[in-house]
Amino acid sequence: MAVKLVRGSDMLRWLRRCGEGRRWVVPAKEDRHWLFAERDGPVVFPPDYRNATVGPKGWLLPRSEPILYYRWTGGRVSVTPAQGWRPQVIYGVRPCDLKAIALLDSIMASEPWPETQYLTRRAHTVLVGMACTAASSCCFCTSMGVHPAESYAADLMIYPLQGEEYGVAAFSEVGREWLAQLEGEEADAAFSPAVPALSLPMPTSLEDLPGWLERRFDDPGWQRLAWRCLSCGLCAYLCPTCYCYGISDVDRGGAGRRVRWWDACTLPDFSRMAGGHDPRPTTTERVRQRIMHKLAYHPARQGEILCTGCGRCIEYCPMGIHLPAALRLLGGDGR
Amino acid sequence: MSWALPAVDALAARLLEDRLVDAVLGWARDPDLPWQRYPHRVDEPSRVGELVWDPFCAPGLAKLVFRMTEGGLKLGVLARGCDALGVWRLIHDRRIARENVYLLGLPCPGMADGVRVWEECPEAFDAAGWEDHGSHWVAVPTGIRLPKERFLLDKCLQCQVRWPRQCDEVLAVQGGSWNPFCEDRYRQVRQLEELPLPQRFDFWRGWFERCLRCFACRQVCPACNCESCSLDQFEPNWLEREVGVATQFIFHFTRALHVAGRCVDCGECQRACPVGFPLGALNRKMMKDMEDLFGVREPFVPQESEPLGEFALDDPDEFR
Repeated sequence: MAVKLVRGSDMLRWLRRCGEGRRWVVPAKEDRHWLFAERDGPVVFPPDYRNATVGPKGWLLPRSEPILYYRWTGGRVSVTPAQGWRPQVIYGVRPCDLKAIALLDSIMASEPWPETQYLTRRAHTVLVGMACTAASSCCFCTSMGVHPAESYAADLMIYPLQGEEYGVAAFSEVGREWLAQLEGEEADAAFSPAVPALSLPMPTSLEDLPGWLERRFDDPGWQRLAWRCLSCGLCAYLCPTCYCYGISDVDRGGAGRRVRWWDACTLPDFSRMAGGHDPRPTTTERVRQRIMHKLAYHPARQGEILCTGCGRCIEYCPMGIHLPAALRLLGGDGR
Repeated sequence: MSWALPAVDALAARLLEDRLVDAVLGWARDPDLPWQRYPHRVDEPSRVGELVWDPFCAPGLAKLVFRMTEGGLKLGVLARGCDALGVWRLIHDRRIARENVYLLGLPCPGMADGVRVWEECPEAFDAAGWEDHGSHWVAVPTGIRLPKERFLLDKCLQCQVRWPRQCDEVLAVQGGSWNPFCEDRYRQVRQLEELPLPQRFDFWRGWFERCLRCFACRQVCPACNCESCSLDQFEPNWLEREVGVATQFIFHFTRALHVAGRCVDCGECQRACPVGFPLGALNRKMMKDMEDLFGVREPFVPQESEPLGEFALDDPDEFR
């Protein structure tokens, strides 16, 4: 692996210089919880940092954002598109989240309706990735074909080597521009990444998984898993690849804004239609939809699994519903 | 004292055999994640061995009882103090019928944060059984001691309802009613009340900014049992879907006021919140007001008639 070797303090100084004028979004610990938050520059991670509870998704696809402003005057409406971006660096992003951003990139760019706001924000973002040296209790990236040292969407990748020593490599035009400004010796370094904590009980190969799941669409295992789902949106909101959204107007008498906000297929009113019909009336259909979208529908259409093994849904679901349980129950094994 | 899992199993089996209930709701071990116990339903006496009762049974059960009994199912519920009060909340709110639940009370010594124990002491999960030693849980036969001060779930650290009240029977084998970790249930409320208004607002604003509004707090809450929630309605749109300080304020304070006088202090909202929002402080402020303004001594215990839950023509206070 060809990298530039650098000491931690020099690396931070170099990054800060290259990212001048940009907003810095970095993992920050706020009483027990790691979140991606705006700070004035990059930081050295303490050893207990593995990944953030809330990943960097919201800095590219905000929890809610105006997409246009409108005003009615004399029976005519005037519309101004929203300008919701600032140049930013998102720093310390783990490979599972980098892979998720790569997936979002292709989804958001897809024709015929590319998401210009996401794409604009993305074009003004430099992603500095950080390879994993320690696994969190619930991560399972390799089961999903994701590697804990891979760069994916990153412009620059940092590999913690020994003590204060880091290796840095570039993976894009802007990454190479930045790296050219780093004084450091080029070397061939060996990096041994973390081994994910969990290895999923895969019933079949990743390639065959969509078909395997499609054949189990009516399996009673879905009900055995989903009866205890409480229909919140926690799994979808923490998921680095969930991107479904809704749109509504915040109207203040003749003027207002059209707003896009995160939605989730696990919420009870997500699929309710005008007239009251709901094609997914219970948690069984909703939990199935969420898992099938990630592991069957999207891979069948786009050739990519929409789960990167970050483990957040496993760690945080208050009722203990998770992917390993789904695969086991559908395999016909157990309770 | 030991955690009497065999006794729990025997009781559950007896209820099923005697046809007192159609199913028993408790917890089961997660075969994939050693630290996890999830809510589990057993329908046959021969399967009661699937139930588990140890220091890792984190999820509350009350909200599940609501949906499970909708079709008239008669349900036995392994109920700690928090679960029992949650079920009584639903009974008093006329959401479940008293005769459809059989409450099997389990005095609770507090539950551990399983992920944390797994990270710091994975060998604890080799235990065959557990004993409660007050300040510690002790694994049998390995003798591994887990200090509660370090590993108790937040909701259990602040718990004031360890003893299962108003149950059909109580398996009085371990635990007790007193929680040494919660001597003053209003300590955090008082600390916040003493803050000058701008700082108090900043405190909550910080949390509003962090809240994802994923609705986990509402969905686990046994007091949030309305058929349709005003916060979900589009017409009228009481709560904008846009997430900002103002709408988050509306979300959290609407919920706090709607459960004021009805919250059973089970702490499930705080457990479910992925970002650690101190919802307990908000709800306990309401409880403190119930005590101070209405003289309710235990505002977390559901009653047949409650100060904010009834209308009286001879109410001494006018609407102003």
